[in-house]
Amino acid sequence: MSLFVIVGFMLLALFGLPIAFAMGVASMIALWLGGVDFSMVPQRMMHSVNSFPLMSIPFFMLAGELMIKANIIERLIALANTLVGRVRGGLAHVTMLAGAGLATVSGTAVSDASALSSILVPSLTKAYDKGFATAIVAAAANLGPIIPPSAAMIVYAFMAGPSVSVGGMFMAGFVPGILITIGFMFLCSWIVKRRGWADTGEAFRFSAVVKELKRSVTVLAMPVLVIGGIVGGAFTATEGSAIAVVYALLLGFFVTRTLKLSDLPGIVVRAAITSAVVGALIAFASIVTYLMTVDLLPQKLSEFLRAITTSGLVYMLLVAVLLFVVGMFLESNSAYIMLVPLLHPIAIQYGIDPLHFGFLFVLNLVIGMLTPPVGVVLFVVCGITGVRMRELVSNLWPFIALMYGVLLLCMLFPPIVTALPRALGY
Amino acid sequence: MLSHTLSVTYDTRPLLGRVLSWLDEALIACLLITFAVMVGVVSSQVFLRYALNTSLDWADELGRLMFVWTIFLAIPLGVRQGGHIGIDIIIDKFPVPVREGVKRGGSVVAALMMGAIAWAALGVAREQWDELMATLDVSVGWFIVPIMVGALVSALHLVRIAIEGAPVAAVGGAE
Repeated sequence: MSLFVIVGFMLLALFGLPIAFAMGVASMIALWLGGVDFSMVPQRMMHSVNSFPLMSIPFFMLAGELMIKANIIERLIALANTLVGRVRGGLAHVTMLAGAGLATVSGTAVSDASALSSILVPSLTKAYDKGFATAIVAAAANLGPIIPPSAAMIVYAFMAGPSVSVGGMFMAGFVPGILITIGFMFLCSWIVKRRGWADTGEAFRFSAVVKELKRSVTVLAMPVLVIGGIVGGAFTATEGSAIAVVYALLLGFFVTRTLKLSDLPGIVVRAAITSAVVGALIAFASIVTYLMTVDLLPQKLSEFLRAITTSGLVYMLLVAVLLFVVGMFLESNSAYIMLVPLLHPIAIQYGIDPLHFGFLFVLNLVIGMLTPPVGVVLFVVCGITGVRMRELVSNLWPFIALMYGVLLLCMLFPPIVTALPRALGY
Repeated sequence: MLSHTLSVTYDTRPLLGRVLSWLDEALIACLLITFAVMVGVVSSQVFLRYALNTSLDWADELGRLMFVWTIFLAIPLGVRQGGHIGIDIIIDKFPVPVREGVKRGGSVVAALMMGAIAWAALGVAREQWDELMATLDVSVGWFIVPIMVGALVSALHLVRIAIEGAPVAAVGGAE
């Protein structure tokens, strides 16, 4: 039955049926052929999304949208400008720091790419060519799901089950996120120097830094409060995300005063729809998972892999290659929902640290958002800036290579990922 | 993008279009309520715990109920604007008439599936109607109702898409 579902799903999905519906149609035909009563379908769909931790996805999405509408990017850019000063590739560094700052309040790359593209690309194209300007924006936006909070990590933790906590995943992404940001900044300096672009930005002044820090303190306080509260055990990830929404509302209405009551319906409905896209995938995948479990597919896959190799590192490399291919063609949430229940338990059998495996899994698919032909961040940046895909990708590959370098580093040296969450008790 | 989220993107002159635009407005109103309740209940729980050293025992269940409603009521709105993620790189290589035909055919198949789910959900909700939730004096059937409503409205949208053609796919914002 599993084979029928997999082949049916792939055929339907390749012919353009949305992935969630392709899973639903294939599995319901299999149930019908197997003479199973359809009444289990709505029950499994409901139970799969009836989860308190999963509620943090729409909340973090809503908080991110509200913060962007509250015009926090303008403050983050001003602060990054004063911190960077007049150096080679100054504006590129400002973009990276603004991207990292935005990543601490938003959990998705798409909303970050949309916000950074529309705000920063016009000034970046005055200093650099359009290909490089859009490439650094795409790279900076991709920090969104790596630096906590992260919708991708919430989905991973949910699909992986009790062996992985959302707080632990958030902390696992912290050090690699900083490493990637610093790496991006060095890369920008090197490229700008090689191409001979002039220095940008104003000279560093301590008083300007203090002034902008004061202006940005309400923005910077949010990740400290929310992520600090979650990690410190003051509240759960879901409660933290709800507090983030309340905080963003207060900030937008009373501090920056750029948020209007009339903005709320659109923002709420957009957050609801994007959550429903993930929710539909989870709900329909629950029927597929049921059929695969009945057929003992996870056990069979585990036995097959363990017959090939007994090394955890080889297993991680095999998964990395699989995700590299999957990331090029499949939207990342579909990949988490379909592959985590299969591959995560096997990683535990190999003795791999669940947080280590989880972070590598997420990072791999986050990089996939920058790789053609299906790279959702590429689509957003091209759509907003009008840059040609080829021009963007030809400037983006050094950033992609750097991210794969960090991925390999994290794979070979697990403490880069696990030291911080373990030190904090996860 | 926000205006696109709320605005009607299909022909509302035919009866199906008129009915769907009315249903979509009702769904949007419900989503605003469910979101407000979710945020209100979860954040007040933290406030009550730290400020008043108390908690609401029904907060978790009500929050989850609202979340289930949010997800399943927003699925048809995702169908409406082509928001559900698909793989288009192969089908985009086909000539336009073939592509259109395949997409319309896919919509019919998906509509039948949604119809079957709505029917099954009705049966489950009726079966469980007398059973109450653990902390709320409300039937557990209310957890199944949004699946029935969401699947039914999705099926209607899919029928409309099969008749009128598919909308331009919106880029997924959930990544």
